[in-house]
Order: sequence, then C-alpha cells, then structure tokens
Amino acid sequence: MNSLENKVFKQYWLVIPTLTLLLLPLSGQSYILNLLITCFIYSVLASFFNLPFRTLGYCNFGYASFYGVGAYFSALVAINYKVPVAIAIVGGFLFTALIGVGYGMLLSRLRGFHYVAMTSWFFGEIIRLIIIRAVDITRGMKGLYGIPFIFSSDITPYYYLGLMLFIVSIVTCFKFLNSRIGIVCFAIGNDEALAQSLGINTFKYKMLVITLSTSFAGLMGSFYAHFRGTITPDMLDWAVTLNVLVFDIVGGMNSILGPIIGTFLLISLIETFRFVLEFSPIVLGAALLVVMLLFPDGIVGIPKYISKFRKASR
Amino acid sequence: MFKKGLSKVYIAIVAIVVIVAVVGSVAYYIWFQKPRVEIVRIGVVAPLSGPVAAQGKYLKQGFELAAEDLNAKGGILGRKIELVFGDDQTKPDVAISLIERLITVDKVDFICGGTSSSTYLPTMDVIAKYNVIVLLSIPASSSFDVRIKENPEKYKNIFLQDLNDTVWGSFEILWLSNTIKEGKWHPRNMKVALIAEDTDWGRGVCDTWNEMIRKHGFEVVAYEVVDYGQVDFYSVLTKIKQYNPAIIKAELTGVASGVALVKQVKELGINALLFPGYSAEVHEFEELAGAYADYAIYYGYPVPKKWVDQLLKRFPDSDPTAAFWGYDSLIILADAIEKAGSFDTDKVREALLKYPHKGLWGTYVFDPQTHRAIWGEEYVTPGAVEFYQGKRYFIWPERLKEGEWTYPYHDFIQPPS
Amino acid sequence: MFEQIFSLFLYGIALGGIYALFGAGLSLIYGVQDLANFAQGSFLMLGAYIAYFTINLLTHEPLTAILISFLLIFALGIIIDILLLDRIRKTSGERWLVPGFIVTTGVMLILDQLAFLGFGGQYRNVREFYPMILSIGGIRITFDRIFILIFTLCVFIALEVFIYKTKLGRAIRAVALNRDAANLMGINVSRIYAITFGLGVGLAAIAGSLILPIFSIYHKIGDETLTSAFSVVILGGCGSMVGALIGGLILGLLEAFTTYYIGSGLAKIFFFLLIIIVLMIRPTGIFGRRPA
Repeated sequence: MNSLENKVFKQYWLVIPTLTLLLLPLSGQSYILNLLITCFIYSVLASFFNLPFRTLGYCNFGYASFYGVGAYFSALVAINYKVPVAIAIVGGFLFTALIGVGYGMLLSRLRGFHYVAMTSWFFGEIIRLIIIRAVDITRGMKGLYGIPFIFSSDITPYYYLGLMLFIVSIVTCFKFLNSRIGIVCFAIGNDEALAQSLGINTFKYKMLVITLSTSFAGLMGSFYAHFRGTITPDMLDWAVTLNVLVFDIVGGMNSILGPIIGTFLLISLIETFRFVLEFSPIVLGAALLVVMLLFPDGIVGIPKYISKFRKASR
Repeated sequence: MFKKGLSKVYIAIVAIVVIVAVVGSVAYYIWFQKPRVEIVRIGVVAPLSGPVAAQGKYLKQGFELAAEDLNAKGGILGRKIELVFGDDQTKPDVAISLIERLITVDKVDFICGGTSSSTYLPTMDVIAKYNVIVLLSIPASSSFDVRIKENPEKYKNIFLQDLNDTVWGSFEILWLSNTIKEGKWHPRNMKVALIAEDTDWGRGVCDTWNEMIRKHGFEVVAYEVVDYGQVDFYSVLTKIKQYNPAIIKAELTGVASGVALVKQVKELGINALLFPGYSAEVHEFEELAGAYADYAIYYGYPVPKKWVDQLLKRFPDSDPTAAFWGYDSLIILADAIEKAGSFDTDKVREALLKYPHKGLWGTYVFDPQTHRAIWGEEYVTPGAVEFYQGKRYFIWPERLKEGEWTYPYHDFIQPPS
Repeated sequence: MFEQIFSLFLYGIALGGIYALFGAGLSLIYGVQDLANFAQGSFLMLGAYIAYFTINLLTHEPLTAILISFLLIFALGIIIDILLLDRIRKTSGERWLVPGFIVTTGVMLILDQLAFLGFGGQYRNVREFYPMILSIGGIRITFDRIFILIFTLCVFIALEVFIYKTKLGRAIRAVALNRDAANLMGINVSRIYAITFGLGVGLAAIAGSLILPIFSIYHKIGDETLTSAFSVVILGGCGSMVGALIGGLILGLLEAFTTYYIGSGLAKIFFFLLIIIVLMIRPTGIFGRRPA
C-alpha cells in the first residue's frame, strides 16, 4: 500500500492542479469559487456513494436523504438552540451517522442488488417525506432560511474550508479502500457466503462501510446548509442521488479518482454551457449511456481502453 | 482489483482534464464580458417550468413586450435594454443561484420578476449581499413586508410591485360583505371552508380570510392545507362536503390546481361559492375547466384594452393578466431610472421611493417602510371578477363593472351540461 | 356517510386501476428480463402527452387516443430495447442487470428533458373524456372514473388472454421461466425481450393516457409517480399481472382512504414503511413467483 501512496503523492503532475486550487481565491472571481465549492461537495458525495457501491455492490438510491438529513439537523440545532455553527456541523455529521446505522441494519438483511436499491430508495423517500411533513419544525416545502453562516465574510474562507473537507474526505476514502476493512468489504461484495465461511463478521463490516458512506453525506450537507443559508427538501430528492450516481459512473466507479473527475468535469461542463442549461439532463443521461455502453470504467478508464485498443491492433 | 500503479500518462490526462474544465469555465466567463456602454442589462427571473410555468411564460412575454416598446422609443436614458432570463423552477435554491449568477456573471444592472413568495423569501439574504436593485413583480407574501420593515438597511434594495396577501384576502372579503349587505345574496348558511396551498402566499391569504371572515359573522368550518401543485382534491373536498359550507375559499397558484379544484367541486356536487385564488388568473383556467369554472370568483386587475390588443398582436397566445406584471415592472424601473437621471443603484432606489410611477394597472407608490406598492383607489386596486360561460368579467366595483353578478344556485346544484 | 365511503371507494379503484397498469408494465419487464426499468415513469409521461395531443389535435375520442399512444410507445420501447438494452446484454453478458438498470436511468433523464424542451413546463390536462355524471340513488359518479375502471379491467383481461392463450404469450412465459431453455427450444429470446419491453412501457402509456381527465400532467409526472409503480410490483409480486392488478387496487384504495382520514403526508410515510416491511418479509410480493 505504501508504494501506491508514494506513487500518488510523488506525482509532480499533480502539483499544477493543486497549486491552481490553492491559489484560485486570489483571482477574486467569486463565481469560480462558488462553482468549485459545488464541485467539492458533489465529489465527496460521489466518492462516498461509491464506497458501498464499489465494494459491496450496494446502490444506495436514497443517498440524497442523508445529505439532506445532515443539513436539516445542523441547520435546526443552530437556529433553534443557538448552537455554534461548528458544533452544529459536527452534530449533523454524527446524527446522520446514527441514521446510517439504522439504515445499515435494515440493509444488511437483504441480498440482491434490486432489493438493496429499492429499499434504499423507499427509505430515502420516507426521510424526505418526514422532513416535508414536519412543517412546524422544518417549514416543509417552503424551506428553511436564516441559517447562521460559518463565516461572516465573503466566499474565500468557505472555499478553503470546502477544499479542506474535500481533501480530508478523499484521503479517508483512499485509506479506507486500501485498509484491511476495505479489502474485507470487497471480499464480502464478491462472495458474502464465502467471506462468512472464513469467519468474517460480514454484518459488522457492512455496517461500517454504510455508516461511513452516509455520515460523510451528512457532513457535506451540514457544510452546505451553513454555507448557503437556505435549504429546501429538494436536497433530499432522488434526483440528487441520480446526479451523484451519474458523476460517479461517468467518472469511473472502479477508481478513487473516478467520482472526483466525473464530478468536476460534468459540473464544469454544465456550467460552461449554461446558456443551454436546459440540455444538461440530456447531457448527463447521454454521458451515462455512453459510459455504460462503451466505457464501463468511466472516464478514468479511457486511457486503459485506448492502450488496450492499441495493443489489440498490433 | 486495485490499480497496481498510476502511470504518469494517466495522471497527466487527469490533471489536464481538470485544468481544462476549470480554465474553460473561467475563459467562458471572461469572454462573456461584452462592452456594456450602450446597453442596460436587466435580469428577469421567472418560473419557466413547474406548476406556474404558464404564468411564468406570460410574465416573460410581458417583459419582452415592454423592452421592445421602450427600446423603440430609444431605450432608457439612451441605452437599449437587454433582458437576461432565468428559470427559477419555483425552487428557492435555484432562485438563489440564479440571482447570484445574474449579478456576478452576467453582471446585470437590475433584476425583476419572480412569482412565488416561497421561492423568493429565502433569496432576501443573498440579495442583501450585493448592491443591485431587485424589483419583485408578483411575490405577495406579507413576510417580505415584515422583514424589510425590521431590517430596512439590509434589505433596502428589494422592492415589491404587487399588493400583499393581506390586501388580496381582505379585498375578496370586502366584495363578499358588500354583496351580502346590499342584499344581492343571502347565503344559505354562514359557513366557510378554506383550502390553502402550503406556500407563504397560500397560507398568507387564507390566514387573512381566517381572521377577517369571522368578523363578518362567518364560521370557518375547515382549514385544509394542500401541497403546492396539488391536483387531487377529492379527499379534501369529500371531507369539506360534510360540513356543507356556503363558501369555499382556496388559495392555489398553479392553474392546473385551480382547474382540478373547480372540476372536483362540481363532480362531488358541492354547492358553494368558490374562490380559486391566483390559479384562476390565466386563460388556461377557463379553457381547461369550461363550464366547471362558472360562478367562480377571483380578484382581477383591470388592464387597458388597447394594451391587450397590442400584447395579443405581438404574442397571440399570451395572457394579459399575467403578462402585465412584467410589463409594468419594466415601466416602473424605467421611470425611476429616468427620474433619477442615472443608473446608479442608490439614486434609482431613491427615485423609486420618492416618485409615483404610472403603469398599466394604475399608479405605483412604494411604501417607504415595506417597499411595497400601496393599495388604494388612487393607486392600484383589484376588482372582483366572475367566470361565466367561458368568459370572465368584472362585477365590482362600479367603475370596473362589466356585468352583474349571477349566482343561481342557492339550494341545489345542477351539473354543467 | 355511506355516500362518502362509496365515493372514495370509486375514486380509489379508478386510481388503483391506473397504478395497476403502470405497475403491470414494470412487473412484466421485471418478470421476463429481470430488469428494473427506471424509465417506466418517462413512458407514462410520454404516453400521456401523446394522448393529450391526439385528443386536442386529431379526435376527441379517447379510445383512439389511448390506442395511438400505446402503439407509439410500444414502438419506442422496442427501439430502445434493440438499440440500448440488447447492446448491454451483449457486452456485459450474465451481469447485465446493473448496467441495464443504469441505462434505463439514463433513458429516463433524456426522455424527461426532451419532453420539457418539446412541450414546455406547463401542466396539461383534458377536461374530461365523457362529460357525464351519473346519479344513482343520490350518489354522484363521474362517468370518466367508471370508464377508467372498465377499460383497465378490459386491458388486464386482454393481457391475461394474450399471455396464456397465444403462442407469443407462451413464448414470453417460457423466456420468463427459463431463458436458456427457451433459447434451446428455438425461441428468439432477443425478439421476446424487445416485445416484452415494448409491451411493458406500452402499458405505462395507457396508464398515462388515463390520467389526463383526472390530474394534470407535466414532464415530471413520471418521476413523481414512479414510486407507485414499484410499490405495485413489490406488493403484487414480480412478474404477476393479477398481482399487479390487486396491488394497484390496494394502493389506490389505501391512498384514497388514508388521505381522507389522516392527510396525504402521513399516509405516504406509512405506506412506504409498509413497502419496506414487505420487502423485508416477503420480497416476492403477494403473488410473486420469482425469487430475486
């Protein structure tokens, strides 16, 4: 594992994008910073959505609800109980983890891709409906506004906080997948019965990866709430999960960088062609189809695909 | 299973892709900055999709017509108007991003538009961050008034062209009490059922009704809340039917909701005077509801016939009751800019507050504390409209009256044939 | 009191009929191909739009509109199956279900947005199919709801006849039971898959057409009702048409009555909880025959 890490962190090519990201706020273009914060949030979502999907084959179709739960919890404790924002965000993270535990216990009883997907979907819908119906607490569909901000100034500190959260999350992902726990999860996903016969407590591991996955969604949700100051139940819509899924798959669900690349690329693409914004779902859908039909490994799989192609034609 | 190693080429491609994406966005953004001397760029936000998309489309047309008219006369202070449209999808977070984008990327000088209060109430804090005037054409929730009054410095750039929900609700009750006092109607009982859409506007109007109708001797037998965009009132109406109210007041914004309501009321055989609310505004309402819309009462606004002809010539499928909001928005803004003699935000703001502005509907004067248009005979005021046989006509007050109020059903209801 | 209950009951089974058709299509595709068609809602929506435009532009006769809608969507379904799903089956072999599911997701995104671009964001509906209200013993019934009910039953009967009494239907059943055996028996499995998909989404189109006089449609109506389709399949069992009918009716009735008594919000929450419980306890549904 060390050699892998060394190879990544010693790649000098990474210096350029890293420097760009670090120095960008100096340009003062708040629009770009805003865009990148969105990229940070969604790439974390895509990466952690990817964790149970890649290791266990669990497609969490209710993923957006964890994103929203974190946001609402954090926002509500900050508004109603005057909790300091930092603590509220941590609270959002932990509360979502708690929900994730419950969700994990539900899911661990199921076998089969479709059942997991369906159960996740309905679970997510239940949470979304609860938040919508609890109008006295959450103001329902009208959304919450007046959420206390993290910083009282302009966008730069938010950018660095977002960048920091992004880096921490990616490193967590990386460490997880390369750790013993991660490998066990891959094994469980491959053949659960076999793993169990080897004495592995599959339940424990499944719970771990699911809870990890959902809690980071909650963390990003909490960050978003105190960044934007306004949240609505639309954050829990399964359309959001769908977007995350597209970013993940188009980027490459079988790699760590995949979800990140997919997110950055697709979000930038959508924004760049903003004047034809109405086409963006079509672009996403088409990208999904192209990837599924031609490059199942996503964008990051293209170099391999090309080299395979080249090798084959020799 | 794992990648054994990350090749240099792979990393390079990845890095380049990310850089290109980011740089591409920056480049596009910079390229978008055209020289601006000859134009004044106005951002228009409207719901172009969702339950009120019909109203949003007409609102947009009103803006376009106004821009064309003003530009034909040389524009504002010599500069031509350029409109930049955005779809708020009736979602607050979309509206927030939209407004920020219009201000920071498109660098608009002013922003107008908006229909749903619930969509724009959350945007107030974002608007407060920038020094751009936002004239909201339709949002009518009194929550705006309250917040602006409490925080005048923070929200100083927000203006509301429409009357608020208290006014609209009171107005309907005014007509009602007048009609009863003049002996034109003897309702079979004094019971009212309220159906509010779960939005700031819907609840605002029905809360007003709830409060005020009691003062006129009525009893509120039900106060139901339905989802925004709801088209299924069957269960709610079945419940209401058992109370047998003589009046049903609903505040719904989407035209499909209003149509569904009036249809299902008649289908269930409920005999009640029906107020469908804002959903009755556009011509789709009587087109889709047909005879089911008959006898529904709605608060309308008089629009000059000459202008209606002009609008329909330019946009044959348009609806004047929705389009005029957009038209008047630009007229008001243009008037303020002309009177201020400048495009500077602070000067225009002063001019907006200081002067009356004549539009299609009447004269707009903004209350200095709430930044909202004032209600009055000499300012802007609604009229009561009734639907009958596929047409709508004003029935009150006198100066707007186009026909007498008819309401034949006192004891039993005939199904529409 | 009785009038209310009967009124709600009628409303519930009319609604249930529509859900049943919607879910039956999904169930058929799942039963034969093992594929969860996430684009089912988009086809419902497109079917509704086609019927809407047919009624407004060509003829007011609802039956013609429904037929045209069914045929067009049936054709579209076959095309999509041949162009996309077949390709996935070839490239992914045995493990094509997950990519296939994701492909349907992509199709959904594209179709929904194309509908928005083509038809605009505003709601559409049809005033009514048949402008009649019957009054039987003081209870008022709109003819449209009766029409929907009768039509739905006819479709289901036709479906059962087709599946059990025709050669093609037998071929479909054969593929559903054991694809490889059917292949060995000389049945062109790809063709059956395509026809099944077309039929499945065609049923959604019929359901969409039937919505027009009751509710209004717009480009997102498919997504909003998608949970209902899956609920029907989960309740009634994958692959079972009768199960879908019963599941749909249960769903419709539950919705009508619980919305009346406890409000639509809570009703949906409890209903989804019920679905999850069913998923945990009896995943194959009430009438299901296929284990996942």
